[in-house]
Amino acid sequence: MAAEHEHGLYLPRSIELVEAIEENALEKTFVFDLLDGEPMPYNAGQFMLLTVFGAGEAPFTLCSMPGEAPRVRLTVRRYPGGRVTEALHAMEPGAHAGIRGPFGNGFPMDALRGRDVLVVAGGIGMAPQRGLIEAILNERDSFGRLTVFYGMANPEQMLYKDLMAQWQERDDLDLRLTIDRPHPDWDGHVGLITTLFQDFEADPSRLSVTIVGPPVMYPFVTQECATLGVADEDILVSLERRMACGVGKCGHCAIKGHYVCIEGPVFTLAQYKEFGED
Amino acid sequence: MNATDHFIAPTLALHGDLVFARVASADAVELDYENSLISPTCYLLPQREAVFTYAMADGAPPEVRAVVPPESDILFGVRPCDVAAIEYLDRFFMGGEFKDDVYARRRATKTIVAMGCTGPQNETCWCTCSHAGPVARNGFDLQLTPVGDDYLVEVGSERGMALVEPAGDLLTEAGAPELLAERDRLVEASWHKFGCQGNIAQAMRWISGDDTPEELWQELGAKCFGCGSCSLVCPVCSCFDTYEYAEDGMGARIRCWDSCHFPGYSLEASGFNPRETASERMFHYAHHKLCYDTFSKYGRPGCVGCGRCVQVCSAQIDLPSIAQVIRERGRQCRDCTAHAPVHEGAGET
Repeated sequence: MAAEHEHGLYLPRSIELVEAIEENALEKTFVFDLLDGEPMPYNAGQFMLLTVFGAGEAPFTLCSMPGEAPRVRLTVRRYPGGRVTEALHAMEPGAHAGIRGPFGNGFPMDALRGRDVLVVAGGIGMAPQRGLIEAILNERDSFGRLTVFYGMANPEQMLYKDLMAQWQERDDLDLRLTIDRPHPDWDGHVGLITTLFQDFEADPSRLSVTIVGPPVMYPFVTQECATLGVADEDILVSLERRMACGVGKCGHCAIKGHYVCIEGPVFTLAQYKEFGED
Repeated sequence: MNATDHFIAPTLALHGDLVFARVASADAVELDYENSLISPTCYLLPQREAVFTYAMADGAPPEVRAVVPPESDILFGVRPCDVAAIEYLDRFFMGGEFKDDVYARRRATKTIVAMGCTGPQNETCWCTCSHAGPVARNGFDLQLTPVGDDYLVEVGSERGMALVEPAGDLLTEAGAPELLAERDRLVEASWHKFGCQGNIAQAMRWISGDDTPEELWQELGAKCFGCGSCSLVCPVCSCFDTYEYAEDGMGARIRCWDSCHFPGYSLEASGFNPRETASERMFHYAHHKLCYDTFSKYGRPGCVGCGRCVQVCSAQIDLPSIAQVIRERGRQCRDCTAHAPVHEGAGET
């Protein structure tokens, strides 16, 4: 980490856009190469700050499999009027940008090893969890059952369609997809992501759950986990707050003295209940 | 004094406002002055500053350059409350896992010459309650305190010693013990003149233990205009936002002061705002200032008693008022089982 900051905490490293994959109408996955050739080791669930020169800087969670560096991959939704995301979505391969990081703690892989893992992803919440799923698949034998709940409003919103098809073929990953409302192009499960818990059986003492999705999803999913008997210590949530620095200085992500950018973004539900404010 | 040093001192601006600014001659320096509305900490964390600059180039990555360290300055006449704020900022920016090199470079070029107080300089001073004055105990390179027609000169560092050595003719060590005793007598005698007689420790205790009623924050939130003035004039507040300035192939990352009272402070790109109401923002502000966590990390509460927020808050919900109401109502809350502790439970997002 120290080497990262030799030239300054806020100076971005140069990256070049290799590929921009259109996932759906609003979201693209960007693949960048680090031009200094140095690897960027990180944990699944850590984030970085991306600079689009001329537009600004914003935090995004990496969605590549850790170890893929000096190449990084991130999926970003374009928000109309958002300076950074609009400029990023307009970038063509070969364009240059900047990156700082990785920052934050990421998912506690050591604590997850040996356990059954349920990944609950709502919408673009799949992006930060893709790295986690790939990290688990990378050393599959170290983990128990792996189940992925992925909910989206409609089939067009699905991220990583090819990857989902591959995952569905695997017998060491139980991928369950759902869309909120019926759709002509969809013959799979229909219903909010919480309905996937109806047919889910697990030994709660062996199960850890990771949850990333829109804010409205959390209370309902954590309630399902509680009903299942999962302890708050075994429920992991990623708090994606507004951030301008990533290093505990700008103040934006602080909640009661806890800096999400340093101590998080991944917290257990038990931790969050202790200091949370929402 | 080094020939390249700039001298930043209390001086009168065009319309008579006291400001800390570069002065060309000793005549311009005010020696008997109310503290400035904008703290001299603005020379350590300016309202706006470039974090780095870059030049765009076709087909090549932009060339990013760190900011050039500013020239060295002597900050003269810094009041003890602001000295305490600088100590806080030093711990905040240069301690912990990440050292803010932009702050550190600026800080390294500054020599602090404090001006001790022997009484409140402004009606709003309350440093006696927040343990930051009226004279500084440390954190200065040099401290002068007026005692009668003389100044008591205290050296706080080698840098301070280097400043006084050339002035040897003007200094006498002989009377120093008497001056020190007289200074302390003046300070003690002035204690009752400071506005706030209560200590903020009790408020810190209630807010750290979540022993404050939710209604209190709703009432304060209803009064708050959300103008952010209290945090913008606060020498301890250090929140910043960043933005980009780019033109003709050149650009800079700028950081600028921000305030947790602004609704946009925590607003996320999706439109979700974890602190949507003024009462939630008020709680966050007060909690950060007064909670035990701040005290344990940075050695003091996030208030130095300078009273600037009292001067600017048109709703009269400045920090001393907030501390006072927490003292009163926090106690009620603990004794009253009808009130649930503020923000208990949570658990979502």
